[in-house]
Amino acid sequence: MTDQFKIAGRNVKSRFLLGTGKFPSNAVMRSAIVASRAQIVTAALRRVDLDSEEENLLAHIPEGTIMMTNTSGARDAGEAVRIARLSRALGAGDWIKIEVIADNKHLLPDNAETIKAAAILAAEGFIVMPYFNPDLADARRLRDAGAASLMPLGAPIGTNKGLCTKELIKILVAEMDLPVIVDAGLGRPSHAAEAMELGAAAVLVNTAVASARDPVRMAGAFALAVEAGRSAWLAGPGSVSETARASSPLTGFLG
Amino acid sequence: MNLKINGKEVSAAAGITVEGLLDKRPGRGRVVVALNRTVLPDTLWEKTALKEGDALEIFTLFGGG
Amino acid sequence: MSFYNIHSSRRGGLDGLLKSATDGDISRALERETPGEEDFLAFLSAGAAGRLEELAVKANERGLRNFGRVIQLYAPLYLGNFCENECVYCGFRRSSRIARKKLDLEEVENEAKALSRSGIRDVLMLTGESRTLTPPAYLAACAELLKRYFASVSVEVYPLGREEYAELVSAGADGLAIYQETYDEELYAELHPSGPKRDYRGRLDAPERGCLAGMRRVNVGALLGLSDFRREIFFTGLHAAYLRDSFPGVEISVSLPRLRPQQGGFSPLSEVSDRDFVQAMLALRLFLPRAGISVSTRESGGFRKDLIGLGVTRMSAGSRTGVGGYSSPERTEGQFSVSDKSGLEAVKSLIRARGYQPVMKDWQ
Repeated sequence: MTDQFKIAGRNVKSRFLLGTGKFPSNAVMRSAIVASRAQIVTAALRRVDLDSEEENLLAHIPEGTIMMTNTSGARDAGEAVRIARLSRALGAGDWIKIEVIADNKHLLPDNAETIKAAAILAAEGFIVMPYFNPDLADARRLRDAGAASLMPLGAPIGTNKGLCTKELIKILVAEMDLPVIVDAGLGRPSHAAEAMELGAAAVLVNTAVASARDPVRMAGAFALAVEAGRSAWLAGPGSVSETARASSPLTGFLG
Repeated sequence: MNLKINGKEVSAAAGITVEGLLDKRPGRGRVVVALNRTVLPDTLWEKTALKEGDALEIFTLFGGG
Repeated sequence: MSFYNIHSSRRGGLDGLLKSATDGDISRALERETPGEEDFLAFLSAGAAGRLEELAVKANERGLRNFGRVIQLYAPLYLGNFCENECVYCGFRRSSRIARKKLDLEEVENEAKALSRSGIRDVLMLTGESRTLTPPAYLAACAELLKRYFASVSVEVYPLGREEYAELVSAGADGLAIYQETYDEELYAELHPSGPKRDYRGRLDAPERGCLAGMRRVNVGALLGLSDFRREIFFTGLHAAYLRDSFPGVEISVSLPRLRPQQGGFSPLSEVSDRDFVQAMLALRLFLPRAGISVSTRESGGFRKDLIGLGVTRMSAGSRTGVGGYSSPERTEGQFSVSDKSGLEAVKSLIRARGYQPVMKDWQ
């Protein structure tokens, strides 16, 4: 039985999504993408400085990669929608990661604005991938708004703390049919494996790979971890403890 | 004439086109242009002459999460 | 949408699935944070019968976490035993030669006074099935009256339409109990040869109509002793889960009424031992961690005492199953012979003896 990963009806070849930010150079970034075997890669839309030499990001992205623009910088739904439309006009495709952050201290997403943006962009035919704080009611609202997936944070951006929101993610996996893609906060390959063992459909990692001493090797490590976690989930873990009971205090009365 | 490019006040030759402005860039990566908050398709860059007070925004893809 | 579709799709191959659960399946099911249908089958399987203590430990822990050490008490109040059905297993069936009675509102008030004097705050009003003699308007009038004496009024009557349930809710009823008796459609037809109760589908969808009408609490179950108990409990669990998932605001609970001897002497078609009963209860507790589990005086006091801690959250106490049984000496035959004849105080002591607290009302 093949393990197919689909988002919005499209086959995606890898359950490891990689961010392109914070790499030491575009060359390292490209090698990391190759080592990660990621098919979906995120990028940000930024203003171009007319006076300086700007390298073209897209020139360093391997062929066959799906670009997913991140609306980072948006402080409300309106700004996120604008970034999405600009990205599309740039020719960056229909995949859009909605990231609306109004809190600059902790970089936590604004769920309400994210939902608003999701509804508008889904209606315009974007493949909406919303980054949000893992609340089940908001997940349902995102689904109803037309989101193609759910991207709950594991921990605040850049903290590398791992699955702080583990229990909430488990609930999302249990209750929602949309693919749950854990995004943000995953600091080590073991975190990624753990997320996959819980039943997440995929993970998105950026900081942990880009800021590693050897980003290319770390990208490969994450790829292996994601595969291992996914296999474990499909295999169905065995029971953890075998309790042998010498006495039957609760059902002894049955004889 | 005076223009705003990416929020900064700049002065440019009167009647310069969008294509003319972009031509001065050292890099030639793909960009998207918004003139007065509306996307301007690249087919119109050569034909669109800028006026006093126009606000231009130029975006491209950068590395990001 | 109806539970009927789910029931139809799960009917086949059930016996095989119940038999084929392995030790490994049962162990994994016990480890699962949120047991699913397959785990429920494992808990109900023949194999699990030999591992009840493990199920009990888990069920006990779940119960403590979700309910604490509390047992809610209620009492049934029979308003009338007129019935147009011929359910072969029931003492109130139409052809039974018993004294028939229906309480008028003054008599209902006397019953309410007597019962509430004892300390009961949660009442379950029951009738047989007679739309002519105990019509919906009568039920609503009784509910309104009872609401003046009790904090919570539940009803266990013949299936009503959604609007009729809504009228009961407006009148003050907050709970609905209705049992499918057997989820086996073919057996159901045999056991209900005549009368309105023949309508299997109408009865099956009744709890859902109650939820739609605004009932706060809905209680479902099957009469154990008719078809194979493992199948009946499986469908009881699925039915409860369906209602819980479709109506997140409603408190869903299950009951496990076990056939008792009654006038006319119907014998159970299949045996349900105490061990079977316990397995059923543990499986339900594990599959539905937040559902209430109600056990009536069909079960003996001693047995009910042992069930505390295994998942039960509600018990009836000081029950009289004859019409007008509280305010006057028992002049009419009860629907079933009460096994636990201990009064309310005795039941409270029994609960306390297990380190649990008896509670008379859930909310105000």
